[in-house]
Amino acid sequence: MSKPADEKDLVQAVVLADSFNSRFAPVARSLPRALFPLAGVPLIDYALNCLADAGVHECIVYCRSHYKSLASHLASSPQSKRFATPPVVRKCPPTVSSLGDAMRDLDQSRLIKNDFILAPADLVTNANLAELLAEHKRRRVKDANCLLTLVMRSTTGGFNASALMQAQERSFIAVSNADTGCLRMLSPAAMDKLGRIRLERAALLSCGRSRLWTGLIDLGLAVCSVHVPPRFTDEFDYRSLDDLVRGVLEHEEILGHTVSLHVLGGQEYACRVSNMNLYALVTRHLLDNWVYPMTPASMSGSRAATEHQVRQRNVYVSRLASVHRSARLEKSVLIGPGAQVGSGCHLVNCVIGSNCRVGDRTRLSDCYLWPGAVVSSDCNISRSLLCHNSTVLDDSQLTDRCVLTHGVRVGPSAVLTNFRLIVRSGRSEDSASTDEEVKQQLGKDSNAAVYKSAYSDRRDEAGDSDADSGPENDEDSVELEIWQTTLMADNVEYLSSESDSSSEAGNEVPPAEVGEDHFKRELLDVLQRAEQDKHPVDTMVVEINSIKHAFCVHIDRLKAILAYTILLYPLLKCEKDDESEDCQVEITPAEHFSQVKDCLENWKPLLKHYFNGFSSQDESLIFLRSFEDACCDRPQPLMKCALVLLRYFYDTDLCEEAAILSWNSEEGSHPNAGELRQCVARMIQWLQEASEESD
Amino acid sequence: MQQQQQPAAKELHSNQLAMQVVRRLSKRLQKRQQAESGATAADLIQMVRREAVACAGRDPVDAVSQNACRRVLKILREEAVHSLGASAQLLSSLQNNLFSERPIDYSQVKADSLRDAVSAAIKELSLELETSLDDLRSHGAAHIGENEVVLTLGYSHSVARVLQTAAATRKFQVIVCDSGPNFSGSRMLQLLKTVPQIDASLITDAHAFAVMSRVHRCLLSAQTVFADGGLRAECGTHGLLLAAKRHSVPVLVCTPAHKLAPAYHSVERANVYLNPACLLEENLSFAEVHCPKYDLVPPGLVTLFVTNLGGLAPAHLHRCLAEQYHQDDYSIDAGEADGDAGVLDDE
Repeated sequence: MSKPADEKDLVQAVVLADSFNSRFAPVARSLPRALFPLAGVPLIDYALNCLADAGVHECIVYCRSHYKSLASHLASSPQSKRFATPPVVRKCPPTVSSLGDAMRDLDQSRLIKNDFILAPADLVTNANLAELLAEHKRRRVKDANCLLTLVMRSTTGGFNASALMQAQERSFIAVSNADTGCLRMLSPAAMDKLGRIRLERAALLSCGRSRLWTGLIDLGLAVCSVHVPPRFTDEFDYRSLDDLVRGVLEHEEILGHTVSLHVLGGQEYACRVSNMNLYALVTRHLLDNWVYPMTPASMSGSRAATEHQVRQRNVYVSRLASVHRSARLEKSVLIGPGAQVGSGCHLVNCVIGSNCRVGDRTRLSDCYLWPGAVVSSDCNISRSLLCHNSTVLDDSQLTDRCVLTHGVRVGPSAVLTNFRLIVRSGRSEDSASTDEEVKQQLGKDSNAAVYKSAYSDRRDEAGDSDADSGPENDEDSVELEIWQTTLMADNVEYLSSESDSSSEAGNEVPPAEVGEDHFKRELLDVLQRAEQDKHPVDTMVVEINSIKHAFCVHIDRLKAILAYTILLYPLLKCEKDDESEDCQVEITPAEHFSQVKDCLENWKPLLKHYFNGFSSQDESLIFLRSFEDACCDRPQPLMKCALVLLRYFYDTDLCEEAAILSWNSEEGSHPNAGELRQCVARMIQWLQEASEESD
Repeated sequence: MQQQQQPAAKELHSNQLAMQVVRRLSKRLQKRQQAESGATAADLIQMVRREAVACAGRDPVDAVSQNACRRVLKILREEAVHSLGASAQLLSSLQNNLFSERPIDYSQVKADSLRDAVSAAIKELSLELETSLDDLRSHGAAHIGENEVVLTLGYSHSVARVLQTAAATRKFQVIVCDSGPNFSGSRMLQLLKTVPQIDASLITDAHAFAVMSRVHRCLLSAQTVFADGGLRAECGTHGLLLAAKRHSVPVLVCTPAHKLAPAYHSVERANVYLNPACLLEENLSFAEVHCPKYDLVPPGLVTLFVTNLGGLAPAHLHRCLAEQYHQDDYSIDAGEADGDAGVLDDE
């Protein structure tokens, strides 16, 4: 694929190859998570494959550690050849400790020229990202304030509702607008003791026709607009995408940004490999074809030499592997090139990496052997991970989630159960336990020790990105970390406390209404000062923006108030100066018109700035509605000159003909609205006739 | 990647695909003959065989491209033997080939000398492929009688054309099985509804057995026909054929000759497995869901193969094979690909 000539059509992607946490600590020490072999292919290749399918031209890969191994992998990976320019690996400075920092770095680097796809390196999905990107672009045309489209996977009524859900650390509930997909509320899902879910009332009320989503899985995947990295720079304390989304939803009133939600369902598979349970599960799903068209055969490349022979019941055997004919490969098994499987073996749901050796009469179920792992004869291993070059000697039993890290040797006759993480002994940085009983369990030829994770201490140092996901685990389940941090139920308290406070807030008068009067006064001051000191428009914009933030005024209200104030400016100024009520009589309609005209001419760039150059009909309608409000509030001078004013708007292109007509057809909310319509009836008639003629 | 390219390739009918391969091969042959003065027939043969291996590597299910390569190989071998003279021709005839001590040495023949003969033969082959559908259509239409009830499954270009042709002269009824999970049967029904002479109706696959007693004939298509009369055909075909056998309903399979592969049926033959999510939304951890795209139908269930060369009984398929392909090209081994399997990707 070649690069497009126009920079506007350039599609970029940012891949985060660092999870900024130490979940996989001892395993990931020698190999980054992005390069963990998943069904024989490094994890990052799945993300890259998906991005390349989406027509991405440029890919920026972020990492903090393991820069060299990532760069050398990307240089040789068949996936990177599919991009117009090979993926760039960007090494973050060690100060970068979260997604937020990476985004700030990205903002400084000025690499982003367009809307881009943000994806984590551990994402496995077959979703059509090209379609997502197109949808995001369409949405941006309609609503320029759409900051990002968040992509999540629904697990309700879809595939593997139970399995995939249980392996997640948390799931989300969300409320979005059913028509536009605009996100209103997003929070970690939790039920109280009676099985109820709390929703924020405000979110539902403001939304119109809304849709409630439950059981959403976080993918860390989003289609971001160019404004996302600067936003992270502005909000220097944002650490994750969650922070951004929460911030946008909270401050929507002020900044006018919105977040859209896209939920994947049906045949679209998507999951992040963020813990060992998910690693096991995604591998299973991949072998069982749920991620079609990504299959082990399609991912291994098209070279005939490495290609797999596909047998029944999802058994993939490399043509270069040697499998004894009496070995039974029951189902969902992948055997990599150069692997040897001895006689009488029984394999179920296994991945045997390249150059692995499995001895005679060994039973393996739900096992993942990374390249170079060796299992001797008569072993029985289930639900375990054997990293590169680890060895299990004769007659060992490894059951239920054991992890053997790189180069570990256990056995013979080792017996290990339940969440054991085995590392090589003699490494000072691991506080490994070495009591006699454990030594016996590991077998007499072992070079290993059981890893005691100092996870909870280290987590704070490393600045874990999902430190807020739930309460800390207790001591007993420390070994569990690599498999899964917290159980779903633990989030209960977190949510209920939050939603309580928000429902209280919903009962009070929203602060926005209170602030509006103050805002009006301040805005008038700004205009007056600008008139006296001849401020340039830029300065006015800065001043108006700052008071807008101070009084929490929504962008749409700001537009309306600005137009209202400018239209009544001569009157209001006069009132303010005299502090008296009766000066309105002193201004004649003609005088008022000429003064308003001057104001409009002076501040036209200002109006254009806020009304986006009056390019769309919606903007003009907002302007006309505030014109109506102004006329109805102060009929004395304005109603008389309404016709001339409207004519002036039309002549100076402040309002399009269509906007005026559609404004006229609206029912005004004000009691005097009808009178105003009569005043401008001549103009409307003229416009209608003109349009009929042109037809 | 390769999987993503497949749907585009699927849009082609099998004869278009075969023509595409032949066109590509003839271009490459011409280039080679011009560029390399020292090239021999053996080099050309090896090049085409590599192409065939690459085709198999790209899509193991696609037998049509491989068969097209075999056709070209046959042409090359024949022309080479022809230029070697009478003794070689004698050697290559069937009986002598059995007792021959040494194989024909194709490297004695200069590639340059074959140019005209090969290009003429390839032109002929292209023409045959181009008209294969029309030939098949006229042969097939003869098998459908007035007021008969014909059962078919899913959408097939060749079956639709045969039915349309038959409808020009007589009236009959067609029952279409909808062929889940892709339900291509509804597309077939839409097409047949436009033909006034055909009374078409749609049933689910599960109803095939129930209506079979009323059916006079099954008219199906296949993705590949194996040498022993086995099929690789759209999912659901096997069940349909068993129902037909139970009711002794004759089964006709419309297949152009280029779908006939010189391999025997086996359950281990390549198949495509689709996303199980299209069958069962929910992945129950105890359930194993498979969604094969094709049925591998064992031999013995088809009455007659209707090809562009005429009707062929399953027992006579080997004659057609021997005519079309050279014996040496029946098996095309992946081992030959050494090194430059990707040689064809430069197109």
